[in-house]
Amino acid sequence: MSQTHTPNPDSKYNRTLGWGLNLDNPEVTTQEEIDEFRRVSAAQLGVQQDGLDYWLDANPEVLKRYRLWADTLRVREADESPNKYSATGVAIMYVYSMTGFEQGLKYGLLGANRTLTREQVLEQVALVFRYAGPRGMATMGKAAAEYEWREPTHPAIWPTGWGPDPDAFKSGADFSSREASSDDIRKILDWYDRWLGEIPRHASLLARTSPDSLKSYRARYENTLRLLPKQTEPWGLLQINIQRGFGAGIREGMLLGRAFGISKPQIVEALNWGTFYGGNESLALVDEVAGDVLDSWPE
Amino acid sequence: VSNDDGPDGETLLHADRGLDLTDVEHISAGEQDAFREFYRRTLGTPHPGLNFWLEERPETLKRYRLFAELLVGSGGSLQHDRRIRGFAFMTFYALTGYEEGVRYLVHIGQTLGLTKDQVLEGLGIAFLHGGPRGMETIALALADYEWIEPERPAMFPDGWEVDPGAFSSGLDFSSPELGEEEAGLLEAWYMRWSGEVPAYVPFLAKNRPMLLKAHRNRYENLIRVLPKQVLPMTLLSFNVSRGFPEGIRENLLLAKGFGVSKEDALGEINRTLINAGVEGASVIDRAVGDVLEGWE
Repeated sequence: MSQTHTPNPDSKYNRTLGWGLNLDNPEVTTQEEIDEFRRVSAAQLGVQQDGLDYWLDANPEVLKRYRLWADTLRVREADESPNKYSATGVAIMYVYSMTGFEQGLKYGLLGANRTLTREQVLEQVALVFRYAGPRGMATMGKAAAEYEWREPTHPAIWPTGWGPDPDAFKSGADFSSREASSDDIRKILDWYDRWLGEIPRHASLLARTSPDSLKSYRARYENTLRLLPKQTEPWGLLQINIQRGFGAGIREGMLLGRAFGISKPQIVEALNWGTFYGGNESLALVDEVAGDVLDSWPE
Repeated sequence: VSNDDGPDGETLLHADRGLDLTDVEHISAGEQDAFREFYRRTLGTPHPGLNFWLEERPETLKRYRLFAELLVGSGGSLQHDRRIRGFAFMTFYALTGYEEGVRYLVHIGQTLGLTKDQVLEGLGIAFLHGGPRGMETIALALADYEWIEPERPAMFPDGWEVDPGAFSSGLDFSSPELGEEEAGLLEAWYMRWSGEVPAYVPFLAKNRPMLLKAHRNRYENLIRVLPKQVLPMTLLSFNVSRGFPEGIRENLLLAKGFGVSKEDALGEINRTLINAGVEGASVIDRAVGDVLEGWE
């Protein structure tokens, strides 16, 4: 399907998922509801999403119960706004990249660029690239090949307590040389200890076996986010690792999120959206590796 | 070992794939052209994902290349080392439907000297975990691929050898049944090469013995023209990419038992972190930290 750049007059649908469907009555769907869903879908995504559109014809009840569920993932607080920033786009973009879902990336770019500038969206893509590698970027490169960037008409509003803070990522390692000195490694490990209160096993292993690799990874890590809120980093780390079932990444994301000031309701929303592609059962791993972190989170 | 010559007798790779990595914040048109040419020539096709960053934010690409080069180190960088250690990424690309990736991996392997028969053995390893879904990708990727007859044979690390007999546990595959004595032979095979028996072996021997034997019938007949070390190294890479500790341990131990060096094993593990994410190294530490500690 071709993508259009139809202006989106329905910003009220940016962060709600009914899109014209009466979710209070899943078992009965009128043609008017179906037509309205398709109209909103075209405005929001620029296309009809093939999978959702399928259920409109095959069995709208399935779509309605899905949307009822998905609509509960978001935690709505006092700062709710149609253009409130959500970092969940990172993990969703990761899934779409890794599974070759070009159409999803196209409408993901359109949605992101509605409130984020080109440079901000590129930071998000750069963060995804750290996880998705060349395979994921191959999908993204094709999806973005003909994308026409726009200036956002309603710039994003950061969640309460969030904001850009590139200095927060600085370990103090000297990146003017490739070789990792013992001082570089000490500063990098100290950074983890300072923010997380512990050193992740991947960092200590690479410090022992491949210190140059650890340092070069940190050169990417410390230079990814400058314009987007620093909380985007642990949010993406947490959700991507929920999806792929990496316990260590989940714990690191939780610890860093707490240290970066993500509130309890906000982290609950991050966990909720982690199940969007991870499934509810993925939360068992969260509880196993980071239940103590969540239990001790400031209220 | 010569690492400088490409398949067409010219220099295979430009320095840092055409990029000046000493200056990550700037890029020239010459660097951009050289990078595109590197991928066009080495992969046989442009790489739209990496080229995306050439245009949009070269700094991101340069920091990635710095990271990737150091991850691989001397253990498998195309730029500095033409020796083949396995079919890393193949199963991962097949399962994620990345046809272009499968195709360029085959192309690279052939330009490094792998024959069609050797590549087919590598694809057979990918089929172990890729199943029908992965094979669909591979079949589509290679539908009109023109196989090359390499002028020079592929190079492998010192000491690696073709040894199909190494996989033989002594099972009699003329019968589908796995008797107690054969189960013992199989456990002895693992003890001989790895020093321990993976948990699934006694589990399946007890609960689904014919399934275990059928698996071994595939496994023991995968490798005939490739060095034996390629099999555990390929499976090691796949298990790192999916963060599966039991698979990492089994295959690292077998690779070690087959004489793979610690440097080569670490190179393969590190390389796969491009797909697994750096926090995947935590899984490695948990799975084989003890093995790596005692391995010189």
